[in-house]
Amino acid sequence: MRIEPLALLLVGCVSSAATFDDTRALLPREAQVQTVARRAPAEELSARARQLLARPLDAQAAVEIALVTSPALQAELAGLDVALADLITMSRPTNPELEVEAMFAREGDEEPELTIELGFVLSDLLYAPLRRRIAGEELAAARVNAAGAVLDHAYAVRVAFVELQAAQMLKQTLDAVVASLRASWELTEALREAGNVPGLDVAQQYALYEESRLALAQAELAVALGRERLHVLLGLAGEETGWELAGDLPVPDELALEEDSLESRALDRSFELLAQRHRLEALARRSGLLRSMAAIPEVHAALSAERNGEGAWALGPVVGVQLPVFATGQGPARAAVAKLEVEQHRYAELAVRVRSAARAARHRFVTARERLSFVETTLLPARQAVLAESLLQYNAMALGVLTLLQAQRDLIGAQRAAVEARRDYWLARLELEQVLAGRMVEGSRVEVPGFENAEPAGGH
Amino acid sequence: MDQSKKDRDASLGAVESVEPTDSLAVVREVRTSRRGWLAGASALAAATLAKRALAQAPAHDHAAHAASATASESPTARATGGETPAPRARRSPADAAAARPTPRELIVPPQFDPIDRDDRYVPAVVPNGRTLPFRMVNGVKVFHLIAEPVRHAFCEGMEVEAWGYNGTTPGPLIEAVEGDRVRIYVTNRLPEATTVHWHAVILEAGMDGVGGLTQRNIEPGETFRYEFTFRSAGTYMYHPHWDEMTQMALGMMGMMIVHPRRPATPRIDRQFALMLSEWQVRPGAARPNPLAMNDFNLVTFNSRVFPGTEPLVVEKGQRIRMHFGNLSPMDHHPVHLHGYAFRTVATDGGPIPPSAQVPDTTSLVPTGACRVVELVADHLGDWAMHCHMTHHVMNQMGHDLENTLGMARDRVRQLDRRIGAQVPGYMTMMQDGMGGMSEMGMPTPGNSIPMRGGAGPFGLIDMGGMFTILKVRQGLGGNYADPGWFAHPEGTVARAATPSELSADGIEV
Ligand SMILES: [Cu+2]
Repeated sequence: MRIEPLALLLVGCVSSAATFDDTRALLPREAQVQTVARRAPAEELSARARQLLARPLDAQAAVEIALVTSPALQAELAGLDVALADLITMSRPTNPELEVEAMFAREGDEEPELTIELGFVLSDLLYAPLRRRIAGEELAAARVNAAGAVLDHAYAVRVAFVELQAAQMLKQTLDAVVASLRASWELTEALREAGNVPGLDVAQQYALYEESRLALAQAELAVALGRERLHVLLGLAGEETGWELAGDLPVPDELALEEDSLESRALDRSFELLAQRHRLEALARRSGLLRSMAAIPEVHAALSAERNGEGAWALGPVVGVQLPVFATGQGPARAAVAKLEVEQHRYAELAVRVRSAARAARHRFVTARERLSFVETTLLPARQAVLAESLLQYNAMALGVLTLLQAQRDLIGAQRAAVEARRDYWLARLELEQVLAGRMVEGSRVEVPGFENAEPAGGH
Repeated sequence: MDQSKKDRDASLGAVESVEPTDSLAVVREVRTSRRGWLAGASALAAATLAKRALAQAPAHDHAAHAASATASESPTARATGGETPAPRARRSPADAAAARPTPRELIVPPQFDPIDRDDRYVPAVVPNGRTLPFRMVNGVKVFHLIAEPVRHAFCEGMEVEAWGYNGTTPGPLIEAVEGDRVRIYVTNRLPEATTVHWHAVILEAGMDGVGGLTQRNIEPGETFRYEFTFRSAGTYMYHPHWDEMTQMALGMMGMMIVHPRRPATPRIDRQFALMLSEWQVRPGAARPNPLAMNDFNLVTFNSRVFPGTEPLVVEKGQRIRMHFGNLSPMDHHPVHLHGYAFRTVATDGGPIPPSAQVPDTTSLVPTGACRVVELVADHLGDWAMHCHMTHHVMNQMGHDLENTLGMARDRVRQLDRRIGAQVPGYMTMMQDGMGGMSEMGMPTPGNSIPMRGGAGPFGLIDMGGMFTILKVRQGLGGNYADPGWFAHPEGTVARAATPSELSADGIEV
């Protein structure tokens, strides 16, 4: 959608590009989403995006691509122009009205009488600046929401990326399980070839091996679906989907938690609250406008030119005032006041939710961090010790190969728990960082057994 | 050991409590013994001569024999000679760890009290073990057995918390003479009650030591008094008869040899007491498992496994006896001797009439029984003596693992690669057999001796468990310390055949 030059003139220097720049300026630096850009529908993938896709893709590169190629995000950003157009619409007064009246005589040959009248709604001109300010607030709210959508999208990409990396790592652990069971099966096969075991032993190991392959197939599906989720978020299709995933889930670095300021930071940064404030401002102004309109009756003015039968022209003004006898304008004014109060309550509720979201994200993060630390410093070493001791017992001929391999698979079980713990750590951390960047998360990805994650109301 | 108990005992000792506690009794015993040593240093010769004269006067015409035996029986001879107590001094290097003095050893009297020895018999040798000292009190031989936890080494590298008597398992050998009146005090330092049953000794029913049946139990801390007369010569055993399943699995057992008042002819030059038993200790564990019923993995002569068993050293031509007593929880042991045929001359039930003695090379010793075998050591050499149940000459062998014997080489390589990728350090084992497994040098759990063998003159002796060596030598001169490996006469050792020998004899290989 392009804004017509005439309309641009009428609303001053508010352009689509400037609106987008203002939106981008709202994005916090640490969210690393400044590269967001507008893109025309069906536009070719940028050279930069191609370059990023050509090498193993990491989370930040995925975000960078999504910020310029995601159709979903582009739709959100294009929505800004709709708000901008509304602003133009509202800034313009009612058009003047031209009325031509001709009267023809039934008899005789007199010229027809002509009446030409050009009328305006005078009070509209008075209210135009007020309307424009209301539309300006609504545009500001739209900008805030658009910036929030950018953050939402980047968060969704990062979450999907973490889950894909975790799925990939979990799949690798199942590769190891399959390899272990394959070794068990081959061992029994070799034992049968040597004449040492009956077919039953081989059949049992073979069955276990094939069962593990079934589980592996599910894990491979999880990886494929994880990639598909990213394709949707990044807006990739066709040849663009051949990218390679870079590495494992990173080892977490230390995240300094400023415990005392978490809530206030979330409140200060909250895009939801900021948008709501703009909406409240708009509502307050609308309420003022409607009250003025109720107090001051609508005034029409017109210039009238009349030609009589003799062809003589007469010129004169017409002024009309609407008499507020039935529709006094009080109704809409009171409705506006009530709606303002409704939204003020919503604002308070939203603030409570933002504070709670900050605390909940912190709880999730701290728990996930502890769980990861426990799994890595306690559970994994415990299982490693079982394997090491099992190997010693195997060397001492006190334990068989199959039991040794079982101990190894038990260690893989602990490694799977470690992958899940690291995944949950990153999901919790992304959620916390998102809340601190000013955006609440809808439907936390950090699952808590026995607890249904409540859907936080977006407030819009 | 119960440290708190030891501390308590020590503190009681420090304040010289009038209540005679167990430890005080031991301290007194040590003092008595040490006094004996000091007195013995000056008065030894006179005392022993006097006692010997007294003892031999009534019935014995074997003065010369006794004298020569005293001179030649190394442990006792050296002890009577006032030298350093011998038994632990002649241990092989492999026993160094086991020979480390423990606090218990420091307070246990030496093997023979020089004052109270009985010269009417040739004392038996106890490989890896000791004989219980006694004191003559008004014509009664007084012994003191202390039932207690002991730290025990099966061989170097394998120590456990066991139970025993007077600091060892098996308990020390009790020796007496037919007709001796004995009084045996039994102090219980175990965490549970015990009794002592004098296995196969014919005595008053109330001295039989069966908890609940013939006496009340000896509770922890109590000392009981048994008194009876050895009516007949013979080979007997002692062991608990209260919770014997636990207490014997932990090592509580000992042998008793009652020598005949009139020694048998021809005379016996040298005899050995060997207690047979079996244990379950998982590799890396350090306490025998009394719950075991089948899978025993340590099978012992005098609670030792080869290579921790002391060899039996004899002079060529000596008439020797071996007294086997089996108190294994669940197994009988066919003990086989190489190089000799022997006759079983007695059981714990008494002597076997010569007409019933059959030549044999293997003596099946049932559990709960003794067998005394006799032979004349006329073949020089190092002769293996072992239980012939092949699993009884294995150390800590596990039985619940895959049998990989005969697995194809390429399969083994493939498995080593595949499993090694999953479990670094993995190696397929025993596909070509299990000989020399202990030399593969793979890391095993601490405090374990799986598949352990011992060094021999021609390489590894791939045996463990109930295995020892009878060393028959000429010209030992009464020194029965381990003489080392047998020096085979030229041309008497099996060796690889040469091609010319093969072709000369028409052997194609
Ligand atoms: Cu046996």
